[in-house]
Amino acid sequence: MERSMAMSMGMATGLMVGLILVIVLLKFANKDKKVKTEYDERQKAIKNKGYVFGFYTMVGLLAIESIMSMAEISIPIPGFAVFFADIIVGITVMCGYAVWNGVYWGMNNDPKRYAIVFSIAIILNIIPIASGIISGSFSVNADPMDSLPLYNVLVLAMFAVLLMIMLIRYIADRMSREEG
Amino acid sequence: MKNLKLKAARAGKDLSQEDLAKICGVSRQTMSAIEKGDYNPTINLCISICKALDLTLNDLFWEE
Repeated sequence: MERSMAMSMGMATGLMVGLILVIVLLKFANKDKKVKTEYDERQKAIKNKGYVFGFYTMVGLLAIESIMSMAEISIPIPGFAVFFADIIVGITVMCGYAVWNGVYWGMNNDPKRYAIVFSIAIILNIIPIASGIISGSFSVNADPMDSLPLYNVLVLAMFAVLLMIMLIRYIADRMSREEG
Repeated sequence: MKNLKLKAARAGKDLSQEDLAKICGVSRQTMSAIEKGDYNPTINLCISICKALDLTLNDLFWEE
């Protein structure tokens, strides 16, 4: 009980620190030092559609998990990671759709600075996994303490998928580029 | 349907998609999508494109 309370407190603190870090990084990554990213009208339309797809993906996943829970079908992943996976998959669908339709950057984004921010995020997510592997504590089981790097694995998987979509789209975009 | 009038007018002014997009406050991808006919711009964007190219809505967006 005390252990899970300490873990919840730790996670809440971590989330708050993460939120502050995100604000600072966004201010750094945007050319106009604003936290909010500005999009043009087509980008807004595509992002809106992406949000819809992301939302329905999450609803679909939650419906499947509810049915599985009712049928008492268990999966070898802790419950907290399943909920987090739903969120990550929803975000991946939303971002993937936007990137696939050419919305890589907002109007006030600095791509080079964003690349730095993404690199920091990837490194920060690799550290707990690497230390978990080195110490031998990384295992997929029911103990949330031992399985904590699952969050990082999911975030890294999201980054990998998005980078892949971005790369394919970027190459296709360059090939069909019409200039002058 | 491709907007060849827009493409020709832009080229006539010696502007790249990137240049015209910057003047109109949109991304290059958006300008490219308008030229390819993949995106129908709002009237506000049409007007700012016309102003940037010193042309009218009829010149650029009216189909005969």
